[in-house]
Amino acid sequence: MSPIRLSFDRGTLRVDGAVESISELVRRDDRTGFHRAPAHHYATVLDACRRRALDVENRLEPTLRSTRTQEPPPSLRPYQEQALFAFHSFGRRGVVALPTGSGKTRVACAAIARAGERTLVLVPTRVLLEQWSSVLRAQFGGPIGIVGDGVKQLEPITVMTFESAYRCLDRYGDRFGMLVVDEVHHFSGGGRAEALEMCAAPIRLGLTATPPFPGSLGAERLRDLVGPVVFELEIADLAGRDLAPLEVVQVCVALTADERLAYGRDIERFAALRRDVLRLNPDADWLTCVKAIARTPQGSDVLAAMHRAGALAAFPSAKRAAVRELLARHRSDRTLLFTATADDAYALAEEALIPVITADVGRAERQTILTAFRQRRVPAICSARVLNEGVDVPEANVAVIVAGALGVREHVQRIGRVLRPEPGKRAIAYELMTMDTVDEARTRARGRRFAAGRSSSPQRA
Amino acid sequence: MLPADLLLLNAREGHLAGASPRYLTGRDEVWVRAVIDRFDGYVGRTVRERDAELVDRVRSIARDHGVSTRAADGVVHVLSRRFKTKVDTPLDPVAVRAAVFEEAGRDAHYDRALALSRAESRLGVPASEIVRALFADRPPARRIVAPAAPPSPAVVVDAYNLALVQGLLLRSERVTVDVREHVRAVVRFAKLAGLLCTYAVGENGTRLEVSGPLSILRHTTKYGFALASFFPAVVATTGFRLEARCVLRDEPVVVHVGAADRIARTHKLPKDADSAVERALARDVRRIGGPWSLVREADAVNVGGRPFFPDFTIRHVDGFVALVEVVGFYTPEYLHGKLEALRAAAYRPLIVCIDQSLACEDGDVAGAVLRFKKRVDAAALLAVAEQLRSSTARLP
Repeated sequence: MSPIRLSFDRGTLRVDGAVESISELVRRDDRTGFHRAPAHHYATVLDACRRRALDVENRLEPTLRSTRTQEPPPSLRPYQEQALFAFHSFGRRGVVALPTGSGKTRVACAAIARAGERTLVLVPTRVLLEQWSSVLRAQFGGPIGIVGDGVKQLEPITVMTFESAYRCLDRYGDRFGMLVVDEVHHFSGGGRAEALEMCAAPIRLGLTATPPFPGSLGAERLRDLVGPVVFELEIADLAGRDLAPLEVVQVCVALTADERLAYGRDIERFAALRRDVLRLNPDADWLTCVKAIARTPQGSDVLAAMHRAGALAAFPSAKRAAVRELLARHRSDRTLLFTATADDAYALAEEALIPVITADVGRAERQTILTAFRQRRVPAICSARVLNEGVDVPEANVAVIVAGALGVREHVQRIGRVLRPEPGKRAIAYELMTMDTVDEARTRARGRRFAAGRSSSPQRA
Repeated sequence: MLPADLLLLNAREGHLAGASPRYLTGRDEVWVRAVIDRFDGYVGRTVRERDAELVDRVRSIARDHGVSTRAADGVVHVLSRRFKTKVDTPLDPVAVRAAVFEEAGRDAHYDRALALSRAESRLGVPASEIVRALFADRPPARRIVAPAAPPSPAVVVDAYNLALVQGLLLRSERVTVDVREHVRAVVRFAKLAGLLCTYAVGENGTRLEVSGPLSILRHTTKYGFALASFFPAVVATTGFRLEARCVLRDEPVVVHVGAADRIARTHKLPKDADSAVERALARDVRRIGGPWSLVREADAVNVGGRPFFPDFTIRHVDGFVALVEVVGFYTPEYLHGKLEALRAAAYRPLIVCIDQSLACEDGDVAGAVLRFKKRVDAAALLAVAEQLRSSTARLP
């Protein structure tokens, strides 16, 4: 019997030879005359060949194997050691879910050091690209490859943005034996998950603070692409010991009379049409209602009115005043302000003369802002989404959630920004809530889900 | 490329199975001109102002002309890329921000006026200028610049139609294209985009099946972009036909596009890299006229799993087709490779025109051989083609 030949072809695993022995794992491609499997199934295919004692000519082996020497791993806290142990126990395929600030990067560095393989680290944003490359350079020395933010340099350890991975892993997917995916929950759905399918790395570690709900489609998708959740801790498990102690304060505000009038007018237009939809289809969920309304002649105007009402509730004048008050109160602290939209972030920044970090801010300026914040030259930074995930600002101890747009996952990530432990640090998170509006409903809903994972309920102010 | 919610289709008999894009036509140029004028009215104002007002105004134009507001939104999408913007301040906003935020961070109690006055002394410009420059480089704060020449309605209509088809192809996983000329260039574009191409002889030239490597495993979005960006190369050929299998709003759709459709031609395929001999031959056959026509690179032949593109296809009005390859002066290695390829391609009627100066025997060459010196005799070529046609007709 001819041996099975494995090689990499444009983001897929090319399989030639006696493929009938593993026919359930491959599919014939009539366009090219050979068989293919998704590249991320490389380990599965190889394992099947070994278990069936098939002769394998593995052409991926030389490109995947490391030329790196094994470095000493960094020292870990007990729960980080447990996470690493769990990862190894599951055959070095799995997701480690730890709260923000608890040192997921450190766990990944230890895993990379122990594996000693060529490693690709995927990150969602350009800010994290920079941050990961500095951490890896400090840990492993030598050049660290970067692909993204206008740079394209491959090294035995390379950091790449999700977007770059989506674009170019069909060419480089066979160059790494280990894959680390930061904020891996992004791949629980959506087309960008194809990036992970094009990477053949048999060792796969996912990192997140917010894993998808067990049993959900997202969780199943991640299990296939990276592996199961092998270790999970929540904020309540670590707060006060391995994370800074946290106090959550809800600040309730009201619309002014004029704002209430404008809000009521806009929201009622939407509510009236929604009632009509529900009369015809009582079981219609939110999305069905919105789709049905969009199809009506006045649909686009009504949906625009709804968005206007939502935007007003998310950032009324009372929230501006509350932010002024909170910034004054915490002038000597390091404060992060989170708004629902970039426009709101810029409005706050212009009023309070504090820096903003959004997708429009370039790499050099971003770095200048973070340095000024660390050196206490600016007391606060404002952001809509860019600071939600992963950015390391351990000095920050106050979070002001002006408004959110993406539910409890975003909320957990934002609060996590102020939880990195520092000697004597106490973290405070303020949630601003506009009463009797959709903003109140949203804030309460995400607060309930967040509190489910914490030991104490928020205070009201 | 238009976003999913702006993709308009004409369903066939109520089904999307064989839909065609709902193009704009010459009739639409009237309201498109009104939209361009609206756009032009925002030159000198900020992107924020334009974005806040324009959509409603353009939709109102669409309603007045009885056209779909989504088509109007699509035109806005196309036009907004044609009007450039600039940062409207002589100061460097990044430097201004660095100075202002640092000054504002100095005080134990925040005082906006005091911070701005310190920044004023530090930068040497009035506070009002500083505030204006603070976020002047943000995309919504940029000012719209007049284009060198405003786009004409015809150009916008063509660009809209191209963006519409590309928006559909972005949501497709494979396309079938019938190409009548420049097959080699089209295939090269597809390969550059990382796509896989298979080809077969069709009634209307060469039929290419273009798809991404992952498409046999599952529907992917990655190669949708590649298919969309490869499309302008197809549009640059004459007489093409394209069929795309897309998924639109969770529904499978088969979309048909053809050379008669009014679509902007943004790509030029490489000028024919043919020799003077080949150019003269094409011209001579055209002059002779009659039932034969000669088309440049209209066919692809499978040679050992790789495509081989003969120089010409000679086609009789009754449908008979022969491949024509002109072999001029080349290195011995190239000649050897070429003869190998021709032997593999000889399962189809083939005429090989060989320069007399080349050291190769008729027996080395597959297919009918026509020797030439400096110039291929077009009449002789047609005679050989006629012989091939007759002998093919005599075959049982």
